[in-house]
Amino acid sequence: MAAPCVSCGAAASYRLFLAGRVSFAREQGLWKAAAAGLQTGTRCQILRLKHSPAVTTKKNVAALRRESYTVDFIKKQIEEFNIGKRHLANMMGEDPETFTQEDIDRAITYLFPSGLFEKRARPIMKHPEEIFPKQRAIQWGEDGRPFHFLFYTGKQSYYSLMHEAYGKVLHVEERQDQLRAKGLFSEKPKTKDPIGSRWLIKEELEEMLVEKLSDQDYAQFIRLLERLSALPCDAAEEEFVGRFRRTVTVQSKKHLIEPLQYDEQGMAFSTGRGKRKTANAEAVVHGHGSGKIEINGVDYLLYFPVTQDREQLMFPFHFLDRLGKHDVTCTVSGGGRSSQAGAIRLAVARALCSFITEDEVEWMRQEQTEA
Amino acid sequence: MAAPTVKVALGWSGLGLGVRRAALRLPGLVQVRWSRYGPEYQDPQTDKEYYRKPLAQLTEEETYERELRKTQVIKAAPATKTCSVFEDPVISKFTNMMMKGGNKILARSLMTQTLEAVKRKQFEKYHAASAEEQATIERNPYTIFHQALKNCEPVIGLVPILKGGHFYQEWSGWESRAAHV
Repeated sequence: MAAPCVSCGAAASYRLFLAGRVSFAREQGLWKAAAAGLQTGTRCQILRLKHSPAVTTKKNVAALRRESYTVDFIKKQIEEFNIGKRHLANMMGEDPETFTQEDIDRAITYLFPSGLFEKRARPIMKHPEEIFPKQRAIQWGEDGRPFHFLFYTGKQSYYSLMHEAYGKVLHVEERQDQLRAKGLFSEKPKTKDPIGSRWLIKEELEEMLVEKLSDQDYAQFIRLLERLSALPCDAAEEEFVGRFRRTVTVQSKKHLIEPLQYDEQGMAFSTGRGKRKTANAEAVVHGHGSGKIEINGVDYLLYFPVTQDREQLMFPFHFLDRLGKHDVTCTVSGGGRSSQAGAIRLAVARALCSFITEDEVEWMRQEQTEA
Repeated sequence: MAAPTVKVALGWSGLGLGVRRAALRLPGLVQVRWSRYGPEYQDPQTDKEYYRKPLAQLTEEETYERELRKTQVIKAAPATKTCSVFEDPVISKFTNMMMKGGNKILARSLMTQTLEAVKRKQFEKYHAASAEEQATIERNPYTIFHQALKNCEPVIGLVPILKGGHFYQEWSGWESRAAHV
């Protein structure tokens, strides 16, 4: 069983190298080694790319054109990826059926530890769809006639999308006219959608259509969609518009607020951590107190003789109108006096999140970023 | 439904929304002061009153702006800014301009000593003056400082005026020139 595993290991490694930059694999040494390993493997469906020695003296004009991948090539890559995934799962001793992408990433970082700073240069093993750029299938038939009626505009997907959207606008307006003629039309005000979604950005739209767009094209498209969304639409049109909207996360939700903890006397307290430049601070804020702040066992007046730093410590309390109501015990290390003060400020703000309402958490975030 | 298009210009490459790549703003000019924040980061709002306003009193634009800010990433407030009532932006700016070699402690102490000295002098004058004059004497050093800065501003300034297809620099009042962006 060792021989097939070795070859499949080689296949997996070959697959990995292929994943980074496809042109890397065109080096002679790599290919020869991989080809030698591949020839022994019988069980795996391995793609054998024919390699002809590159002419190193003259500039290879063919290689300068953008490489286009055929549909069969991509399909073969996907098959290889799936097989490689199962082998990787076996290697790691896990169940091949439930091996997710995160498991793959973890396995690769374990097997091929890399200290490179550029994350994109590190070994990766991802689905071919994410690695090979999306390309369009051949747009014309064997007789040379294009399939799409808008092929000669140059941006067929974009113009067909605009055509479709405008068709929907006309359809909705026609429906409105019919209702008005019958007298059943009612001026229902469109409910304004609060900030929860945004339009696609130009890059996302380009990715969706697999076509280059100009800024004016994009602006035109958004204007048309806004016009469509302003009219009373039914479910199909809403779904059409929804395809071009993305949800926007509310930033404060990203930070988890810990519940209050209680010590032996029954007093509530909460801990928070903060960093600023190279200073690290950890603060414990007690529920009931008199505004005493102790840093590394020393009173804050002695630890921070400069007024500016003490103002920074007071900042979260002053903002929430809780100046004399809490006691703080904190430890801080690293950095200078200003960064230590900033780190404690962040730690205190995070600890205070457990004592206050969600609205106030959002206000604090907008005011001093405690994320 | 009029959510604006969010421009995620430099964060698109997958490096993360916070880190920025170097980008020349103007040709021929080299950027000297760098910021680690990307262009999508908004400035923090340190005014307490802005947040304490009850929701019922907000106009539609203000509610929209509030909702929008909930989805935006915000820069951290700098160490010199607090929500304190004793903080004055003009005084902070002046202190920074007085500072040499990053010695903020010295600059700030000089500033507070100056303001204290002004206050003492005004109080001496106040106690030595008669009842009618006492009403005219200003004892708040901050108002004196602001007035002093205003007094130092020019009265007239050059303004480009278009005449006959050419721009001529002509003298006009200091207020009539376009505000410095």
